[in-house]
Amino acid sequence: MCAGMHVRRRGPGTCPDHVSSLPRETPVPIIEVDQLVKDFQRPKRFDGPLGGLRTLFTHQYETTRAVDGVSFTIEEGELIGYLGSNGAGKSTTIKMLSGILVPSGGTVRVAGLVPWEDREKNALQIGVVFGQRTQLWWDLPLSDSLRLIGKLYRLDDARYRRNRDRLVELLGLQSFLETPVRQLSLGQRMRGDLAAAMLYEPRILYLDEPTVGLDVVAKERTRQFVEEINRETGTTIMLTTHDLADVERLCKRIIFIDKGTVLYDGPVEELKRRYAPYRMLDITLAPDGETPAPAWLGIDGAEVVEEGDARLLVRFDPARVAVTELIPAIMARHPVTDIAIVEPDLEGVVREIVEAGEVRR
Amino acid sequence: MATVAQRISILLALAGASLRSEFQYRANAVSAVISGMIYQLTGFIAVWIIVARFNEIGGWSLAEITFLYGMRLTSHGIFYACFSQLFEADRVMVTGEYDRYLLRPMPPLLQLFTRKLRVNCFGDLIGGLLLLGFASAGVDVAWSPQTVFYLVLAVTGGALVEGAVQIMLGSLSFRFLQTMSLRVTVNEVFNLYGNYPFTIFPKALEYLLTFALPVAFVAFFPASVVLEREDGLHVAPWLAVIAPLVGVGLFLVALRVWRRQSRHYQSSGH
Amino acid sequence: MTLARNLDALVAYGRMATRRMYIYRFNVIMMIVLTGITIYLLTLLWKAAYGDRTEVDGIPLQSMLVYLTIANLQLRFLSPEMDQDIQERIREGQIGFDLNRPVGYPGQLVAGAAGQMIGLLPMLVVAVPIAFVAGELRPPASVEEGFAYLASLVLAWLVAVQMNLLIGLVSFWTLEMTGFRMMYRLIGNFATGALIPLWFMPDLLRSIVQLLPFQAIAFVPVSIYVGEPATGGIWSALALQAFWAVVMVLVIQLVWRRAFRHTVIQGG
Repeated sequence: MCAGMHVRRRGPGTCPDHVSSLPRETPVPIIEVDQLVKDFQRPKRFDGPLGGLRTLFTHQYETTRAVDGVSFTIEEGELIGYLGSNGAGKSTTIKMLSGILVPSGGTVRVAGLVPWEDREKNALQIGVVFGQRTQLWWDLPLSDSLRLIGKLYRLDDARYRRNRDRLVELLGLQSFLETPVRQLSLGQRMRGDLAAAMLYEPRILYLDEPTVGLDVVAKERTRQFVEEINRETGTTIMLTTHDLADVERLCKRIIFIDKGTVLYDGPVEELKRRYAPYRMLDITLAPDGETPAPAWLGIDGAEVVEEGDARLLVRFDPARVAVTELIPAIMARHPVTDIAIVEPDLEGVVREIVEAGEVRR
Repeated sequence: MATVAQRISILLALAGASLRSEFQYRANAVSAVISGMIYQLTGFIAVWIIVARFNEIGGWSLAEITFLYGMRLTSHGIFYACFSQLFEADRVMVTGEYDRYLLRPMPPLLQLFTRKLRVNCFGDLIGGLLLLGFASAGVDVAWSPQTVFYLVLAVTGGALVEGAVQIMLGSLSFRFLQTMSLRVTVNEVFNLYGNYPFTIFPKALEYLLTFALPVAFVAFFPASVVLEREDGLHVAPWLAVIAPLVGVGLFLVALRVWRRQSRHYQSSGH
Repeated sequence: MTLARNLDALVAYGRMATRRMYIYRFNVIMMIVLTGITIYLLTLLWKAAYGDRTEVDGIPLQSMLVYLTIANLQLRFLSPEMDQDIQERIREGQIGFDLNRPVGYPGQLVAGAAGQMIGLLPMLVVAVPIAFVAGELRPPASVEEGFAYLASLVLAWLVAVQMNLLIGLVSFWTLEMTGFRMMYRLIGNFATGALIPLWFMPDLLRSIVQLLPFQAIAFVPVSIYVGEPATGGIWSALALQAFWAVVMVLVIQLVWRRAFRHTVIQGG
């Protein structure tokens, strides 16, 4: 990882001396994606008695466009969140970046390589973790898997042992290192997969739903590891996830994709600001058999956005009405048993974006 | 980049891993070997009974037919040992395992081959070698180092022929899943028609099984050469002699086809 | 009550089998093509064996070829896949529901197999022409032989189903029995007489095979069809099949009772 043209931010102790004396070059983006397009063609299915054979020999196809002109650049060392609902084109993009799929149009350069053309070279510089499918050898102990990966990625003994020991310590693998992978819990397997992916010090790490199915503790542990790796070794990380807590915790920048196009590419904070310049009050009304009419509030800069049994969500613009004014005003209109101030959260933002199909300016 | 020695060492490491995985289930492995052997041998016993009763088939004696059968069985054993996982190509692609192959710095086809080791192949191999052993005693062949060497080449070539056919059929999986039954049927054609001297087939079938499906190259041609039964050939003798070369050639073509077709890989969402 | 339930099972399985067959029609056609290819090879082999002779050991060549065609066709259709079903249901733990009706369970299974077979009959439409092309088909020599064949076929099926059932039931004791089943298939295939009719087996082998029930599945009915029943004639052949069918019923009852008790004791 110290060999190579671009010097990354890195933590102590991992670099041989001569490299750190090299002058820093102006970094070129490590990932460049331009107008990426992917069409999937399925042979047209035929029904009828010989349908199977006809399908086999047909030349007619149905085309679906999964990715439609996606462009973005990622600098080395960034930790990006890649968001979107299922079928939005997230996995397809990642597969093109990692060399699994060949695009139908557009260009991709990953650390100077075209992934599907220089597949093997590209493989040496990326690590990929799929949350739902392990890359470890199922029937063999975890240690065997790590050793095999070491061999596959051509690590010499010293480097292998050093990296393995560091990762074993970092991820706490010692206790189940000799257990067959099929007997590991999901959390343990995930840690094993992370170790396997980082074993050969890839420049780029693609994480596809790494926290799915994990319990709260395991999730936090995973996030901690990801953050540490990014900070200490400067590994560029692209995190695909549905879990917005992951994003909140780890990513400063997100790329939001829907129906094959990028709807948003920028800081998380900015997105939240656009959608939630407002804050919310969660009010529990005292039961008195009446549900207030939506317009009863009558305060400038505040509106009721949601109503339930004895519950109100009031959205207000802090620039126009202060909380200190609003609460007494509400309490004057209706007896209240509880009030809570709700911070804006990403989930609601995402839901709104997907529903609207576009991002607010 | 990786040297040849490195690549071989990686290959062996992967194969070793598969072997160890398989022997986790030791009891199963042993019974698989035995039942594999019995399966092939019952097929042979049927033929043996027929020939014993009828003295010769298609002008070939019992010993000669045993030799042919043994050659094909050994060839098939080698094919199965190395390439059996081609039959799993469908499943590997549907479950997303193939994606992982593409993410590794190694040719995906090689990863497919070393994925699992079906120990049944040892049954074929042992059975085939046994038959060859018995037959060699009974046939009228002047055994020399050259003949034995040719035999080894021929048996390897035969495995490559079957491998080539299955690789090419397997590459269909990139575009159409559900092609498994086609591949199984073709495999059975090799298993059924490959064991007998082509003299019992009508001429049209002989050509079909030489130029449409290269069954002849697996065992019949080289066996004819070794047993000096060129009288039974429906093609010029030199074509039969170069059977091992044809195997290598077909195999290289198959690799090309596979690589070309892999551009169509769509990787279903796991 | 059990009769009605069995009829239900029969219809249900039948419908399921037909639907499955339609969904996987490509595979089904391939299987039929494969049967045709096997038949064709066997006819070539035996024609070569006969050489110039039209008759060997009193068996005419034509009879031999028809034998091969019908025997292989029959095996394709009469191979009930029940034992796999049972194993699956045990593995998945659904067997508990079935076991709630203990006495009827084997009966249910037989009904299921019958349904499956009936559901697969449409396959014959494709299979028979292919067999006709690949091998030799001709009607039985006489009407009596035709009827005898049908009766024999029913008995053959009963024996086949019960043998499969037996293998399936054995899985109550051993959860992992793939090796055992393989062994059954291998020996079974051979001893049924589909590869080699008993006429041509060497004496020693024949005496052994004649002691086994497998011959009742293929050799007996097909030999009746071609008019070359084993020594003793049609009636003794049918009697032999009936004998095995009954023996199987008894064996299964015995095995079933022990298996049932075994599962219940385990806490099923």
